[in-house]
Amino acid sequence: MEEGGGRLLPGAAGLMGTMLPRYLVCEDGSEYTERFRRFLGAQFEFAQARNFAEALARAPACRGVLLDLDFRRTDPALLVDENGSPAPPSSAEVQGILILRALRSRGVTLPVLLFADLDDPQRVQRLEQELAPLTIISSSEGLPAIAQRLQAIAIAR
Amino acid sequence: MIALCALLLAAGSASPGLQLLREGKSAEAAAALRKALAKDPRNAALANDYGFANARSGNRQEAERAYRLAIQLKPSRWYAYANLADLLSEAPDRWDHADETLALLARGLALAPPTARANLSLRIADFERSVGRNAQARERLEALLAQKPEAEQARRIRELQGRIADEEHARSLLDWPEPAVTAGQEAQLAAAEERLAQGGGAAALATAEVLCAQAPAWRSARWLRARALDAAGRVDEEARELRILTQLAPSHARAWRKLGEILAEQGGLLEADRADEALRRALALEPAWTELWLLRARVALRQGRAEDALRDLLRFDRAGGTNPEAARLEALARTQAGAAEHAAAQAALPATPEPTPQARALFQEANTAPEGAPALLQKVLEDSPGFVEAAVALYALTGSIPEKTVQALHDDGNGLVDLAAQAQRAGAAPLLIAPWLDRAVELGAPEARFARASLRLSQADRPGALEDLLAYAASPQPQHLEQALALRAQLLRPARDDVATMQARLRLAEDHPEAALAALGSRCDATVPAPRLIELGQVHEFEGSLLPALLCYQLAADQPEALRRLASVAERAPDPRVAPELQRAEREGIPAALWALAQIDLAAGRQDQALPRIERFLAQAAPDDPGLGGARAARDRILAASTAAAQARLRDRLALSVAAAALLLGLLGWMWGGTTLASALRKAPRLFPPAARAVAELRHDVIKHRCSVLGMVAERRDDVARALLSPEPASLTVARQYESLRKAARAQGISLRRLQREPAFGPLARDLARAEYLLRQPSGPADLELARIDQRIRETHSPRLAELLRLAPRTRLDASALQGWIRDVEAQMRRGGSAWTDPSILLQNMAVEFPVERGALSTIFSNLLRNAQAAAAGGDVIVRLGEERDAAGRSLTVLLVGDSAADGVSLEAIEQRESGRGLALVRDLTREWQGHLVIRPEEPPWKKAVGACFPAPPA
Repeated sequence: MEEGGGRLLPGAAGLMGTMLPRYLVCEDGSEYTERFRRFLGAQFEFAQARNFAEALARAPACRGVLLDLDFRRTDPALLVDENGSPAPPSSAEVQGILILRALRSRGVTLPVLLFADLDDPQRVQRLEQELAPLTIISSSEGLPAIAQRLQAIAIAR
Repeated sequence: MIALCALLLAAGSASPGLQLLREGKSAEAAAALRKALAKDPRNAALANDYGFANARSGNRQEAERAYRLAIQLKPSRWYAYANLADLLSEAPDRWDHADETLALLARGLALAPPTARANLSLRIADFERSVGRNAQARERLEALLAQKPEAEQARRIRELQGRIADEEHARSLLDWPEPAVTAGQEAQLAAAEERLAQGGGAAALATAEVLCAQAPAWRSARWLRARALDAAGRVDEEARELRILTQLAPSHARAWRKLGEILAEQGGLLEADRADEALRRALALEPAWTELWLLRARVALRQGRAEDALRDLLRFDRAGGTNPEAARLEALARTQAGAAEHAAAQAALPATPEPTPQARALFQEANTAPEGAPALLQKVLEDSPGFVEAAVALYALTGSIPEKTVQALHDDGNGLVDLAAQAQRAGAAPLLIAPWLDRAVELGAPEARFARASLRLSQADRPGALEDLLAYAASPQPQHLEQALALRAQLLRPARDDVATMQARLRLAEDHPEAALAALGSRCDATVPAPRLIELGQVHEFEGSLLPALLCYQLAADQPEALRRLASVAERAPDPRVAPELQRAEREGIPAALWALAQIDLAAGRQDQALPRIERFLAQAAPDDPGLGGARAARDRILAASTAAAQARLRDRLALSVAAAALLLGLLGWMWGGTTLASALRKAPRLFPPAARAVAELRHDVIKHRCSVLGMVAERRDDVARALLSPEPASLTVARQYESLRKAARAQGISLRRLQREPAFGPLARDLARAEYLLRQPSGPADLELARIDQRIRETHSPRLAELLRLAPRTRLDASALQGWIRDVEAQMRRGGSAWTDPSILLQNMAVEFPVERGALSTIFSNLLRNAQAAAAGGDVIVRLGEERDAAGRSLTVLLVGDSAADGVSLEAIEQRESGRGLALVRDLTREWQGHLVIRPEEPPWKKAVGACFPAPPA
């Protein structure tokens, strides 16, 4: 497991001594985490989780969760269903949603940004309502927009 | 055969059968030999004898069978081969079995002992003759003769050779086969015949010409043409046509007749032989044409064959012919025959009566008694006044010729010439002799002119002498031409031609050009006078040495004669060295120079200069100029070449245009060829899985992870650049993905557009390439452009890629379609002897739509069903089709096949299975189409269900 390094907001470091808002990045690889840390590391701190168990453990220390949908690179044994119970390999394609459901079922109410190209808007809407606070973000969403969303979450909380 | 018979008869003493054969009782001999052969069926000699007896008694089939048996029993025994050859050489069907028979005989010949080979070869040759293979037979016989056979054998060989020759000669009279003609040509011929009969000779001839050209060997057309030519009065052409016709059809009696008539009536003496032959042929074919005998008689008379004419007229008479002309011809023939006899008699009679014996005796006495000679000679001449020797002897003694003698010889030209000659030798004065010779010339005595010329010369009458000599030289057979030439030399002034020139001409006349050159005695050089140079040139020309001739004439080219000859030689052997002289000859209007110069031009490749000269030469040259043919050919070649060159240039230009057009088309095809990915997905649903994978890869890697940072370029330019450029430029990733997609499309027979022209991938790749370029540059105003690119990627390119995923194939499966698939599987399983249970079908809706190509879905289903049927082993099977939503909220279409087998199956077990069949095939196909395998428990009586789930196609 890789922890994000704590960094000060530009201009605020040393003055306020404020810790950067921490977000949990849950994905089967490290692309999101690295990208966020490289580009948004000055504004936010990013922790990483690679499966449900890790996410459940680290979520409480974070302002929100950045969740990938597809976990096909994850060990199938670590895949879970909506209850957090072991799930078949076919669940890897939508593991992000299942992890979110499991987190919600365990009382995690953190805001979640789910990176998913769900081509059905109704489904997007249904999921966002069902698993709120949830925002489903297209894979083409640019980092500045994501940063704004994170900033908004941080301010709201 | 004789030897064979002798052999058989010699052996007959020991065999009753052969004894009977010797006695001429062939049938009895055959019966006896059959019995003997039955007792000793392996005896080849008996079989042969039995065959021989049968052949003698006319039982050919049995004879052949027996000979073949004999050959079979003992292949090395040659007698049966020989007898078989004899037998088969007269068989009616020998032509049909010639090859087989000759092969058999060849084997026999190979096995025969050397002493028997000649005999057997002779029989084989005879068989070859009998089947028309005369060349082989002749060759075989010549080989036999070359071996110097004994006399009897040689005689038989020559006899067979003669027979072959006779047969060949007879075959030469056979007509050539008719060519194949069409019904249309037959109709044309019939119509032309009708026109000819109605007097339309010209039209008939025109048709006949065409038909003869189309079918040159069609004798009917040629016969029509011959008669049409006859109608037109063109007998020479008619005769040629008839000759061809008779060559083609020696049996064409009418053609022979017509040819004979033409040649007899039009051909004159020169064609008389051929006329007679044609008439003979016609009569041989149609003896009823008796009037031809009259024609033959006329021909014979023309040739002076009076006896033949009389014989022909007799045949005419015997054949029952009646014609008034026959009597006239007979009279003529008899006259001709009689005239010949008269002429012969005339030739034998002396012009003047010979001296009597008494006169001769007295003449002898006068020669031996000089004192009484004049009186004796007077007596001689009184007895025989034309006795020239006596008259001349008297002249020698008395100085006068008796008038009686002159009178006796008055009508005897030769006698007068003789008298004049002898009297002249005796010293007679010219004035005495001249009247005699005048009379002899008057009588036409052949030698009188020569004698008078001599006399006139002696009288200094040179013109008179020359006149006589000229007349003498023009007489048919002058006896003293040499002496006459000598006299001429006295009469004419010596020629200025030197003797060397004359000698050279003489040598040339004797065909000795080298001797002529020796006579002329010099080589061509500038010191030699022009006339001699011309002579030397002529000799060279005569011997075919054209270049030396040319050089000789060149040296004498100041002479018009030399220039003319130079041009003449040069047109046959053009040489640039004489070009100046030829140009002078050209200016002087000598046509040959034009052709010579044209050839020099052609050799130098100056066709443009050659052509006008050739044209002028063709216009000016004499009709018999030897260069005309070559000049015409050269002109045609030049014109053809210029035409060909023009055509070649045209072709080149055309080819260039075509190539340019092809290049342009190729370029356009290269640029615009192929189809878009969206179109390809509609045409080839199987292309969807790789397309979906490529799109997913691009969306995940390029758009989601790499391009999403473009908006941060202002703050983290280097990091943005690194994200887009490494590990490889994102544009290259797009290109690579698309290239793999093109490859997959090609495998399905579809050509995708090039990346630059592909509406979804192309703009994305271009924007990425542009962004990569900008990111390599220093920061500045270009960042705005990067921002626009970032916007386009999110708002344009990404949706376009997503749109492609909506083009997934949709296979709508309802109960009916499912029943059809089930029946197919049932038929397959029943054919294989497998157990089958009609499955229950549970269809959630009226129909379920799968995002899978129909073939793939069918394969998935049939394998699931076969697997369930096999597992159930006669138990229960159920097919479920439906839609459901998973925990992630996705709509799934599900295809499940359950069975009642207690044995379970796990996903892990299926995962381990080898690809290619059964559930492994279901696994792979499902995965390819973005689905996944499921195994679910089933309610009793079923135990479990195995199936495939696919994300429902986007609405």
